[in-house]
Parts: sequence; C-alpha cells; structure tokens
Amino acid sequence: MNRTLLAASALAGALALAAGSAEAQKPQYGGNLEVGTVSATISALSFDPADYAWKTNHDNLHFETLFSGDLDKSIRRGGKFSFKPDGWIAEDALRGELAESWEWKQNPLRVEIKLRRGIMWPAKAGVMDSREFIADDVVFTFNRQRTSPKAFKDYYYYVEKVEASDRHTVTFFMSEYHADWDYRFGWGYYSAIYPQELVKAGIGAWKNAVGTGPFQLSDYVQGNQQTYAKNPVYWDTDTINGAKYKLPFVDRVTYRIMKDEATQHAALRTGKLDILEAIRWQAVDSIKKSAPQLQWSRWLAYSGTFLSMRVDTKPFDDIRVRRALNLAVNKQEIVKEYYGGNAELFAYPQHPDYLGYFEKLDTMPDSVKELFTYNPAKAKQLLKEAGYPNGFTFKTQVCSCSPDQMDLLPLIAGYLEQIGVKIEIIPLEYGAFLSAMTTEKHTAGYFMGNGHTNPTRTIHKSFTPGQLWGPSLWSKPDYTKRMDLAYATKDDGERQKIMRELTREVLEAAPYIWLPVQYFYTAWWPWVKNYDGELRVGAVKPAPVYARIWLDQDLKKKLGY
Amino acid sequence: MSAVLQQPAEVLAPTRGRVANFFIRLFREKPLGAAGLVIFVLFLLCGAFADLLAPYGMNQISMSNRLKPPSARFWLGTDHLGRDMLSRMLYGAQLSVIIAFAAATLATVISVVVGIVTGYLGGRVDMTTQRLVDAWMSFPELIILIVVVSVLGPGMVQVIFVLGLTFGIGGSRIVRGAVVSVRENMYVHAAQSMGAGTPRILLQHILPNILPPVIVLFTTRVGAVILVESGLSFLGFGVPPPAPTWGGMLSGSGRTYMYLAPWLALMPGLAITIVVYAINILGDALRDLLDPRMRGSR
Repeated sequence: MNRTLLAASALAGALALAAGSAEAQKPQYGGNLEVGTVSATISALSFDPADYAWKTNHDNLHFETLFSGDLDKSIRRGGKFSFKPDGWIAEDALRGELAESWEWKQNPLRVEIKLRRGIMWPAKAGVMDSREFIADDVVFTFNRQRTSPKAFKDYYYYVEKVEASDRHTVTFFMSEYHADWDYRFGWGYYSAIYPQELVKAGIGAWKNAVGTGPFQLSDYVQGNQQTYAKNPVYWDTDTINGAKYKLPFVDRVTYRIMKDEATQHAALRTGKLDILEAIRWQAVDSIKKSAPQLQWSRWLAYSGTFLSMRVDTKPFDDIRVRRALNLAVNKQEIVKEYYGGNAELFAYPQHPDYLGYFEKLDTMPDSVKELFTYNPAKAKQLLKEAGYPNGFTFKTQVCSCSPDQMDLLPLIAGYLEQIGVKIEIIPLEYGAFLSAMTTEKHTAGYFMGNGHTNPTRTIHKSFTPGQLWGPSLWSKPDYTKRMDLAYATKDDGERQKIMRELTREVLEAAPYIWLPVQYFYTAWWPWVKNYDGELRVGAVKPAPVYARIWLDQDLKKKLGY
Repeated sequence: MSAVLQQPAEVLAPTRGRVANFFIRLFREKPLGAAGLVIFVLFLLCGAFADLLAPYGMNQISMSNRLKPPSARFWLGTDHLGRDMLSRMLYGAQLSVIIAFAAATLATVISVVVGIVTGYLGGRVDMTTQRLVDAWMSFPELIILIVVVSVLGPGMVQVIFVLGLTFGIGGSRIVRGAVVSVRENMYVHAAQSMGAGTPRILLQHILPNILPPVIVLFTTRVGAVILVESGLSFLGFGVPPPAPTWGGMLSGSGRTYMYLAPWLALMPGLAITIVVYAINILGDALRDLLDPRMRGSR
C-alpha cells in the first residue's frame, strides 16, 4: 500500500513538473471533454434566452454575447483575473466577443458598437442557411428580450431604442447612464444573441439550437447529459506560445448531469469526467488519496447561502424575530466544524473580490456585527419581546438538488430548536423549488443559495421590488430609490459608497439568516491542458473556457484511462 | 346438522391454550423463526420506547462532537452534525415501526377487502378486478412509488399511503387465492343454503379461515415496507430530514463520510439487514406452522 502511494506521489510530482512546461506543448485537436459543471445536478432550464432562465449561458454554448471576459488576462497567462465569479467581470478584464469595439457618444447619449466582421451563423437543417452575423441580429435579439413576458420589470428602462446604423454597427440610445449597461445586455445572464430564423423555427426546441458560439448543441437527455459538437465555422482563435490556433480544440463537450455527489466523485476518480468543477471540502482528502494525479483549484463560492424569512408573513414581519434567529445560529461553529475551516464567516451579499464594495465585518456597525455572534440567551429574549416566549414552528422549503443545503438545513434546525423554534423541512425538486419562489407561493422559510452576480445586482435582484431573486420580499421605497441612484452614478467611488450603505442596511434588517460562504474545489486530470480551473467569462458562461481546452490523449492513455 | 354446527367452532380464533401451544411449537420446531420473532419484538420495543431509551434527542446537535467513533459516551458514534447515532437509530426504528405497521395494515386491509370480494363473488367482478390488478402489477413498483411521492411530496403520511396502496393491490392476489379454495368448502355451502347473506358469510365463514395466510402476508409486508421505505429514503423520496430514517441515514451522511466515519453507513445498513431478515424468517416460520398442508413438516 505504501509503495503504491509512493509511486503515485512520484508520478504526481513528475506530472506537476511536466505541467509547468505544459504551455510548451503543441495543442492537439480532437477528443471529447467530459465535464461535471458547477451545476452538475441540474439540467438545462430553457434553451430560449427570452425565458430569462439564469442558466442560459451555461447551457447554450452555441450562443455568444457582445462582450466577455478576456482569458488572456487570466492568472494562468500572467494576468490577475481568476475568471471564477458567477456574474462579475471587472472592466479591465473585458473584451469584445461579437463586438469588436465600442464607444460612448453624447447628444444623444448612446453607445456605438462595431461588430466583428465575418462571423458566421452555421447552417442548420430546418432552421437556417449559413450567413453572416450582422447588426440586425443584435437589434432583433434586444427587442425580443425586452418585450418578453418574462423580462424583469424595467430591466432596460434606460435604453430608448436600439438601431442598426449599418451592417456591422449597432447603436444603443440611452435616456440616462446605467452602471450595469454592459452587464445587462453585453455579457450578463440574458445577453445571448440569436438569429430570428431560430425563433421562427422554434428556439425552445433543443434540436433547433444554432449559434455563433464554439460548440453547437447536438444531444440532450434531460437529467442525464448535454452534448455539444464543435462548430466547424467558429471564428475565434487562441495564441499559445506565439502560434495562433483555431478554436475549439476538442470535438465535443459533454455535460454529465449527476444528482448524486458520490456518483460525481466516482466518475472523476475513474476518469469518466475530465473536470469536476464544484467539489465540497469533505470529499477532497479522499479523492486526493485515491487520485493523486488530479490538479486542484480552491475558490470562495460566488453564492451566498441563507434562510430567507418572508417579511410579509408572521412572525417574520417583526425584525426582532429575524434578528433573534440570526443570534441563535452559531456561525463561527459552522465555519470551524461543519466546513472544517473551509468557509468565510462573512462574504455575502458582497463578495470579498468586489473591491471597493466589500467591507470587512469588523468595520461594520455593531448592529451588523452582532448578527454574526452566537447569543441564544438574547435570541430568546428578543423572541419573548416579540410575543413568542415559547418559540414557534414554520415551514422551510429547500432544494433537494443541493447536497450542502440538504445537510446544512438540519443543522440550522438543530440550533433553532434550542430556542424553541422548530422548522418543518420540505425538500423539493429544483423546478418546483424555483417555481415556488418565482410565483411567490413559497413558504415562510426558504433555504437557498443565490449567486453574488456583481456588486450592484447582488442587492438589486434580492432587495428591490419586482425582481426574481427576492424570497424575503423585503424592500423599501427609499432603499429602492438609492439603488436606482447607484445605477445612475458614473463615478465608481460614489457608487461604491452608496452600495456600501445599502449593504449595511439590508444586513441590519436581517431578512435572512446570514450564513457563512464556503470554499469549493475544482479538480481536473493532467491531460486537460490550457486550463487552470477557470469557470466563467460572463454570467455563468463557460463556453470560451472550454473552447480553449485541449486534451493530451497520449498522456491520458499513459495514465491508463 | 351437528357436523355443520361443529365446523364453525373448529375454525374460530384459537383459545389462550392454542396461542401458548403455538409459541411452544414455534420455539421448538422453528428456532430460526423464533430468533426472528425475538429480534422483531426487540425492534418493536425499541421503536415504541425510543423516547425513553434514547440518551439524546433526535436532532440534538453538538458540532464539537461530530464524527466521533463509537465510545462509552456515544455507543454507536456520532454523525457529521454531532448527533448521537444510537438515539437516531432508536428514533429511526420508531419511524420505521410506525410507517411499516401503518402501511402494512393499510395494505392488508386493501388486500383482504379486494381479495375476499373478488374471490367470493367470482365471475365478471373477479375477472375485471384481476385484470386491473394485473395492469397495476405490470408497472415497476419503485417507479410508481417515486412518481407518486414526487407528485405528493415527501412526508410520512404520503409514504404510508403509497406503500399501503402498492402492496395492498398486489397482495389481493394472495388473499383471493385463499378465498377461492375456502369458498368451496361444505360449511360455506351450508351457510348459503341456510340463507346467510354475503356479508355474514364473508365475515363469519371466509375471513376466519383465511386468517393464516393473511397473518403471514401482514408480517412479510412489514418487512417489505421497511425495506422499500429505506430505499425511498435512500433515493431522497422518504420522510424529509432531520427525520432519522435508516435509509436516509445510509444515503446521506453514510455515503458522504464513508471513508472518514464508516459507522455512519454500517449501523443503519446492519439494522435494515437484521430487521428485514428477522421478519422474513419469522414469516417463513409462521407460514410453515399455520398452513395445514405444512403441518408435521420441519
């Protein structure tokens, strides 16, 4: 056993050394990239971006957006960006994807975007012939997105109109400046550009899928797998060691949908998965022991976990009750024991990566700091003052798709039981779980994880009215006005100041039981090249990452897989 | 006349002497079955008195004691939330007892009602009903269970209802078979010729004479329900957390921490194995002892 471990370690060491010179290798074309993604337990929600499903970019590798993150500025390439955040790209990490360049102009206020020339929509039987991507496609997409019955209220209120100035120039005329202008229709969740031929043929049908992206959806089995074949007319290239290569390298990308964690880990160990993007800390040591050759990356989740309390329902309309429940949960113990130290006590709703927006807990007002202390005696006192001396019982829905949440909620329930508050846990499948919230028919308690997105949207989407991700239904007119002001503020420093105030205020109001944010791990086999654990270059958008990966088939064979 | 009058007395429920005699025969002739009975009774007692026996609460967390191996303080160790495994196993037994008995009772009632009526009436009623039973039984049981629980949502009542209905319809075939053989007996014809109504015949002449297979059916159903409920919990369709169902414990922390804390999987796994095996061998022994054709065999 020891000899085997020693040999495996030696091999791992040799591979690590070899990895350092991986960039010197010439990329190979071919192969099938098998991925257990960050959303490995959930199938595609929709193939139509006008459904405003948050996973659109993740599942539609065939679509592209006007802008995306520039992987040439990744840490792996000597830059400073990890490209792990779910919906945040710093301005200096942005590049044009379908856009070649863009410029703000005044009188009238507008953004003029020059599109790349020569990008082709591939031919798709029954949908369209191959043709060039043009400005009219952007105009069509924007107008359809804006008028979709599922569009968020006033999402594009600041855009007066969009016009195709010429074949390759599209202009967005704005009524006012909006700080998230590039996120909302440039690289965000609902920014995918698609042709009108696809809409006419039926954009919701996966068999019709076609786009300018590096991969085209070729097979879909709900709950099992999604396969994407290489786009033969894809336009983008990557420069490796001074040589330019057409993308993508691999022939296919397959998402393996696996609801069961143990199955995901087994698939990774046995080489059935090339990459597993989100591994909880509990499994890391045993996976490392059984597969020492794997490469690893650790990252703080871009998703906060919390127990939301409906403020329109008793007893959660009383802030004392909400604060009491926060005080009853031992969050430090959760970090230390439940997460084994693999978590940050305070990293939501602002993420520590959001420089200028994030404030450390010890700089927060006392009323906020208190919520992250453990004080069951004060919790009981607050409940008594609020008229619940003997506690109460409430229902809480949770998604059975998240192993972590299914484990964590009974722990929270255990803490609350100590102050006489009982939770009736109701696990639901993802579709039913999400639908309960979007229709506002969810229970008083709603346990979920929600992406940080970006420093402004993290507050806007959950704590202003008419938004999708606000299970607590907490909002205030004055608060919403200041949020709008933040969006209208061009000066970064001013905007950051407003957002810090808004963040403090919502923390204090405690519409959620605020919980620690955990670290996740990504693991991949050494035959996966030109990759260092990057996850997304837009809002949950991985296509450019996968397009740049190449597989060393010889190494894979040498390792016995 | 006297022979007809004597017969009902022979098939009435056994007297106290007969019960004692039965148990003596069980322990003497079927020692394995007797062992099964002892284990089964222990299981029932653990479940019934879990509140008294469990040293800790069902969901009493203690994060500083998480993943502790078996010790003097925690006889079966602790799980990932520091909860005492022995306490959770006892409360799990309680849940299993409730679900198993409730579902098995419901199943037996359904089986008896459907089986007795169709077996006695025969003809078109029997033919139609049995074709419906055939259709029901052609579906994979687990798929039906998963679909129904997905629609109704997880919960103890839902699980009891689904399992009772599923096993009940399938079990009606066995009861029907017993009724078909009993209905041709002389005492039934005699009762009919004396003008006894169908309900009286069913309740006073048929039902008492099919009790042996019904009892066996009931005991085997208890074991089967425990096993299927464990499977449902394992798949995430059983009683939701933090309820300590054995299947749920096996599926959840049991698998996640299999390498770090193997007792989390071993304990519920062993418990399920032992209890289901005990019930099965008890059921076998009961069948052998109660079936007149098996009397005299070992």
